[in-house]
Amino acid sequence: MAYDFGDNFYSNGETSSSSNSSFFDTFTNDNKNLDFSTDTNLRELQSIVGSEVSLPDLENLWNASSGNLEKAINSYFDNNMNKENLDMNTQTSSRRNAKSTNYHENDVEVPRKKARKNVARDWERKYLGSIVVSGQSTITGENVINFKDKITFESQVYYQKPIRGRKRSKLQSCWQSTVLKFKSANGMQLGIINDSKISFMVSNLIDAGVCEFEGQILLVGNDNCGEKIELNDEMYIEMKIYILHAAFSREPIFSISRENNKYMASGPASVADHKANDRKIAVLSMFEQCGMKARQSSVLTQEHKLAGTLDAEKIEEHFQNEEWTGFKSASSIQQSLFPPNDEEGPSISDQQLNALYEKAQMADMNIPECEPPAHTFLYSLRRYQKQALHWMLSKETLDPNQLTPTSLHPLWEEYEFPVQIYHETGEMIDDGFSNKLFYFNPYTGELSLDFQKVDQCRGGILADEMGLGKTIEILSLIHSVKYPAIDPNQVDVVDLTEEIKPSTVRHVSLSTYEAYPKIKTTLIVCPMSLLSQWRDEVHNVSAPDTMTVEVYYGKKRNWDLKAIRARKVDLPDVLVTTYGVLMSEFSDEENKPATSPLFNVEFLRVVLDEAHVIKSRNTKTAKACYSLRAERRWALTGTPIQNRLEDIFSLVHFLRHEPWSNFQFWKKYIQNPFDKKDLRALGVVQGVLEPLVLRRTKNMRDINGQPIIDLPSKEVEIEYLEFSPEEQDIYDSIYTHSKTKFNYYVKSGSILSHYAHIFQLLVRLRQVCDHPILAISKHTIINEDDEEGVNDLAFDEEGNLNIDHLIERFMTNYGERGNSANYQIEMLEKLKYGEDFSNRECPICYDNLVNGVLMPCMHSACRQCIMEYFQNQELLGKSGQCPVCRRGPITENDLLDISKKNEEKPSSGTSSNTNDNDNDMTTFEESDANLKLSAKLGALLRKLNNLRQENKMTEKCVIFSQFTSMLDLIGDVLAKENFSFVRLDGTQQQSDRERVLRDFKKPGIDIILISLRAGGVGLNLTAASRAFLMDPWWNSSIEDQAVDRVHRIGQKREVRVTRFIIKNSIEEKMLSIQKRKNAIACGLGMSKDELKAHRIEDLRELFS
Amino acid sequence: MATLPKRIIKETERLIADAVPGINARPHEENLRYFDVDITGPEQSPFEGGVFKLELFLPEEYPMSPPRVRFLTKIYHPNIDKLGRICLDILKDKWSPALQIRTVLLSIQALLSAPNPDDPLANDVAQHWKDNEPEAIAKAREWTQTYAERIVPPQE
Repeated sequence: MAYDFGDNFYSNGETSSSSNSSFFDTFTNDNKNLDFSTDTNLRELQSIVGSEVSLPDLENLWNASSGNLEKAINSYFDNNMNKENLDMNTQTSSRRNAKSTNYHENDVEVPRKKARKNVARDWERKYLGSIVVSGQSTITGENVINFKDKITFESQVYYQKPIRGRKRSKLQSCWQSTVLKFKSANGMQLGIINDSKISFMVSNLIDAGVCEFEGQILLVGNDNCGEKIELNDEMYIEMKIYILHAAFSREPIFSISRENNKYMASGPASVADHKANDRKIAVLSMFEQCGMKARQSSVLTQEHKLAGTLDAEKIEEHFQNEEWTGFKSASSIQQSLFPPNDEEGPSISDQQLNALYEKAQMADMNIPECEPPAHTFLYSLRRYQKQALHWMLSKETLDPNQLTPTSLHPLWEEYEFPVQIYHETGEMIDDGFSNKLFYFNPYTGELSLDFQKVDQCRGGILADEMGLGKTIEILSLIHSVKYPAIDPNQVDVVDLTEEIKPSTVRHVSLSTYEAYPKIKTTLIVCPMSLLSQWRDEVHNVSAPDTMTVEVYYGKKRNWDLKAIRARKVDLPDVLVTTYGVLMSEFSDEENKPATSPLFNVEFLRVVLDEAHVIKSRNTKTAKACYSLRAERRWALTGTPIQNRLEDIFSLVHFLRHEPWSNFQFWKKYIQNPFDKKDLRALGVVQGVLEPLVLRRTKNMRDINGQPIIDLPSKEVEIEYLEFSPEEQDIYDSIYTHSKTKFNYYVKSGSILSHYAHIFQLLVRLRQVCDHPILAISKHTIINEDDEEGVNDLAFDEEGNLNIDHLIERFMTNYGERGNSANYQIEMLEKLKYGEDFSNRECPICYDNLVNGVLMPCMHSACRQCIMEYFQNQELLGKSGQCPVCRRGPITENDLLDISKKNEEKPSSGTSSNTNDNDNDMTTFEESDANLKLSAKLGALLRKLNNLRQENKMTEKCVIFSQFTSMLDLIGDVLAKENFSFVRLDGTQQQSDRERVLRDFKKPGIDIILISLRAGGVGLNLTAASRAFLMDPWWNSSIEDQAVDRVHRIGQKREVRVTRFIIKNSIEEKMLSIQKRKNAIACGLGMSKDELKAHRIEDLRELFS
Repeated sequence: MATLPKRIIKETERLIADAVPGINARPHEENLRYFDVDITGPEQSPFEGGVFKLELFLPEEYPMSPPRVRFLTKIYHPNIDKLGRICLDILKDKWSPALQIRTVLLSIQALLSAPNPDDPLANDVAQHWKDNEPEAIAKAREWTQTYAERIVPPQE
C-alpha cells in the first residue's frame, strides 16, 4: 500500500498545543449525547480499563467524566481520576512522549533535549526500521481517525495493588503495568497498543532514551476508515523506529572495564541494574522486530542467542513471570546485594577436573616442537618441553589476523544502520552522515558508535604436573624472546634465535614522561621458598653473560623509578620477587596509588609461579598480581583448580582473557550454571581453558606411545603402629577430655563457633600420636611454617578457620567499641602477615610473650599472666578486663592465641618456680636416660638403623612432620644416634634455607628434617629417595605434594615412602576422612549447608 | 628471700635509667621491693616548693596486687590522711597489672596538682577545702613550708 510521509501535515497541531484542550473539549461535548445505558457503559469501560477496577470506582469515574465514555477512559489512563487512583493506592507516572522533536506537551522532555544538543555530532537520530502493530481504539466518533494520520506514542506505568492471592514478595507491594497509548498529533488519545511485548519494548526504549517512535494509522479494523469509529475497534499502525544519537553517548550502565579491577568487587545490583536489564531486553527485542542482524558477533554470543540465554525470547519468560515489569523479587535483589560467600562455593571433584583438563590436553600431543636458542640456553629440553616452548611462543605472539580492526571484542556485536527506504519510490536514501555501523553489547545492553576492540591476552596457564619442569620451560621462553621489538608484526617465531639488534629493542621515546615505562624485564613472582631456586636456575641454564637476574627481596629493593623512567639504569632480564613482597608494596586504596616501582612499570612479562596462590580473587595478594602491568602474562601451577571452579577465574582474570576475565560474565555463564549443577557449564569451561592451558601429566605418553618422562617407580606404604601402654594412657585421658568438651559443644549447638578450640583439641591429640611430650605444652596452636605467614593460623581449606575469620569475629565483636581502631587494625595486620609476637613484651611480667594471647582490644600478654590476672579479678568478684585499656569483660574464650612456636623459655612469673619450671624439652635433651622413644620415634629409628646397616646410608632420607616440635625431638634422637642431618622449617630465613638445601646435596648429610608445610612447594629434594611422613595431614594432596618433592624429574632411584599411622587413634580416622573426602566432592556442587553438615560429620567421626 | 621477679628488676632499671622529672625512687639495698620515693610538689599547686617523702612497697603478689604507697611527709591534702595514706583508685580497686611504679607515682604527683575534696580521705581537710578553698590552700602551703621544705637539702 502506498502512503504519504508528510512531516508538515500536522505541524499546526504540534506548534499550537495551547489550542489542544479547547479542541478536545469541543470534540467530547459533541459526542456527549451518545445514548448508552449507564450499566452498559460501565461494563464497556471496565472492559477497557481492566477488570481489576471495581464497579463503584468505575461509577465514580463515570460520574466524574460527566457520563462521557471517552473522557472516562482517557481520564482513567491520564490519571485525572485522582480519587479512584488514591483508593487504588496507585500512582501513575507519565513517561516521556515518543514524539520526536519540539513536542511541547511534555515539559520533562525539554531540558533533556537541550542537554543532548550539546554533544557535537552530525545527526540526531537514525532510522532503524518500521514495524506494524495493532492497537485498540479508546474513542468513538466519526471522522476522528484518518488513514495515514500521524500519531505519537506515550507510555504510562501503573503501579497497582497486586491481585489478591498471588504470591508476591514483601518488597513488591505493588505491581506495575505499562500501557502504551497513541495519540493524534494534536494530543488526543486515540487508543492503546494491544501487544504487551511491543508496549514493554517501546516504553523501555522511550524511557531509556534510546529510541524515538513515529507512527501512522494504516487501517482501522472495521473497514470504514474515515467514518465512524467504535470503542475497541482494531487499528493497524505503522511504527517507525529511530535510534537516538544520545543512546550511544550515554554512560555505560555497568561498564565492562578491561583496565581496572574495580568491578571485581561485584557491585550491588540495584534498581538501576534491573532497568539496564530491561533496556537490554528491549533493545534486543527491537533488533529482532526490525529484522536487524549483527554483522559481526562472536561464536559464543551466537550460541548464547540460540540458547536463549540473552535473546529477546527472554521477554516471554519475563511476562510469564509475575515480576515481569522489571522489578526482581526481594530475594533475588537481596541475593545480588549480598552475594553468597565465595569461599563457600562448592568444591570441584577430581572427575570434573579431569574432564576439564581433558580437552585442554587432547590437542597438546600434536604441538610442534621448538628449539631454544642454543648459544644462550644451556639445557637441552625434552620433547614435551620443546612443545611447551612452541606453544608459549605462539601464545605470546599475537596472531596478525587478530590485530586488524576486524577483531571485535567478544562481548560486542556489530550492527549496520539500515538505510531508510521510501516505500513510494523504493529509492534508498543515504543520509550521508558518518557512522554507518554501531556496536551493541548484548550482555550489558551498552550501545556504542566506536569500534570495540579486544585487548588480547598474551600468555596463558602452564599447568604441567609437578615435576615436569615448568621452570625450565619458562626460562627457555625467556631466552627465546629476550628482546622482542615493540611491533608484534616484526616478531618472527621461527627466527627467534636470531639476535635482534638493541636499537629495535622496545624503542620508546625518551623525551616524554612515561607514567608506566615499558621495560625489558620479566618479573617472576614466586613463594619465598623458591626465590633462590629461580635465581639459581636462571644462572644454570644461561650461558655466561647472556642473562641477568636480580632478586627483589628483603633489603635488595632499591629500584629507582626515576632512573628507570629516564632509562638510566641497566635493568635485569629477570627479576624475581615473592608474593609477600608484592603484596606489601601494593596499595589497594584507590586514591593512594602504589609507589613501588613494581607497579609503576610495564614489564615485558609477568610470570606467577605456583599461581594458585592467588586463587581467591579478593585477597590482597591476588589484587596486587592483577595490578601488575605487563605485555605478557603467565601463570604456572600444577593445580590451577584446587578446590573450587572459581579458583581458575582468578587466573583467567590475571591473564585478562576476555571475556571471561569479567567476573559478572564468568558468574553468569560459568559459575552460576555450574553451581546449579548444569553440566553444560563444564563444556563452557573446557572451551575457555582449551586455548589457555597447557597441561601434561607425568604418565602421559607422546605420539609414539612413549611415556613423556621416565620416572622411577614410587612405592607408598602405610606402617601401622601401636601405642605403648603409657602412651595409650596419655592419649586416652586427653581423648576423653577432648571428647567431653566436644560433646558439650555439640549439645550447646556451638560447634561452629568453637571451631578454633576444637581444632586445638585435635592438634593435641595428633601431637600425642607423635610423642606425648608434644602435647604437654598446652595451648600450642598448629601454626607451623606457612609461607611468609600469609596463612598464619590458618587451618587450611579443610579447617575453614583462618585468621581472616578470627579477625572478622574480633572486629564485629569489639571493633566498634574502641577509639583505638587504628591500633587494632595495625595489630591485626601484623598478626595476619605473620609478625613474630614472641619479641613483644608482656605488660604484666615484662618478659617476652610466652604463649602470647591477643585480647579483643588487640593488646597482648602471656596467657599465663593474663589468666592469673583474671583469676585475681574473679576472686575480687570482678570480671576480666584488659589490663592495659580496661576494656572488657573478657573471658578466656576471647583470648586469641598468637604464640608462634612452642615457647620454650621458662616463665618467670613467680620466683619460686623459676628453676623447676625448666621446660620438659630441656630436661629431655639433658638427661638421655629420660628420653623415651614414642612408638613413632622408635619405628623411625629402627628404619633408619636398618638403612644404615643395609646400604651404609647410600640412600638419603627426607622426614616430614607438621610439628616443628616433633622435628626437634627427631633431631635430638638422630643426634644421639650419630646420624648426620639438616633441618628446614618455616622459621628459617631464606638464606638459611638455601644453605640447608645445598648442604643436603653434599655427601655426608644423610637426612633432612622438613616441616610438611614448608616443604610443600617447589623444593627439589631428588637427592633423597626415601621419605618418611611422621603424621597425616587433613588433606592428602598436601602429603602427595611433599612426596613429589622427592619423586620428580631428576630422581634416579626407586622412591619409597613410609607413612606412620597409630592404630586406633585419631590418625586412623583422619585417613578415612581423607578417603571419604574425595568421594564427597564428587557429588556435583554441594550447598553451603551441606558442606557445613559434612564438616560437622567429620568432627563427629573424629570423636566417635 | 625469693628471687626478684624479672618485672621488678626491669621496672627498677627503667625507673632509674629514665627518671621522671620531679620524682625520685630508689629501692632499698637490703629489700629491693621497698622504695624510698621523693616527689616534688607540682608548680602552681599549694605544694610547690616542697619535696615529699613517700615509701612504696611491692607486695609478694605484685603486679597482681597494687604497690602500697604512703606519704611520710606530713601534707595537708583532702585525699591524703594523717598517716599519709592516699586515696587513689588505681591503688585500690582500679589497679591493673599493666600499671607500674612509674604510673602510680605520676598519678600521685597529679593528685597533688588537683586535690579532689569530693572523694576525701581526710574528712576534715576535705571539708575545709570545700568551705573555704583559699584558706585551705593557704594552710596547705603553710604545711608545705613547714614540713616539706625542711627536707629539701637532705642532711645525710
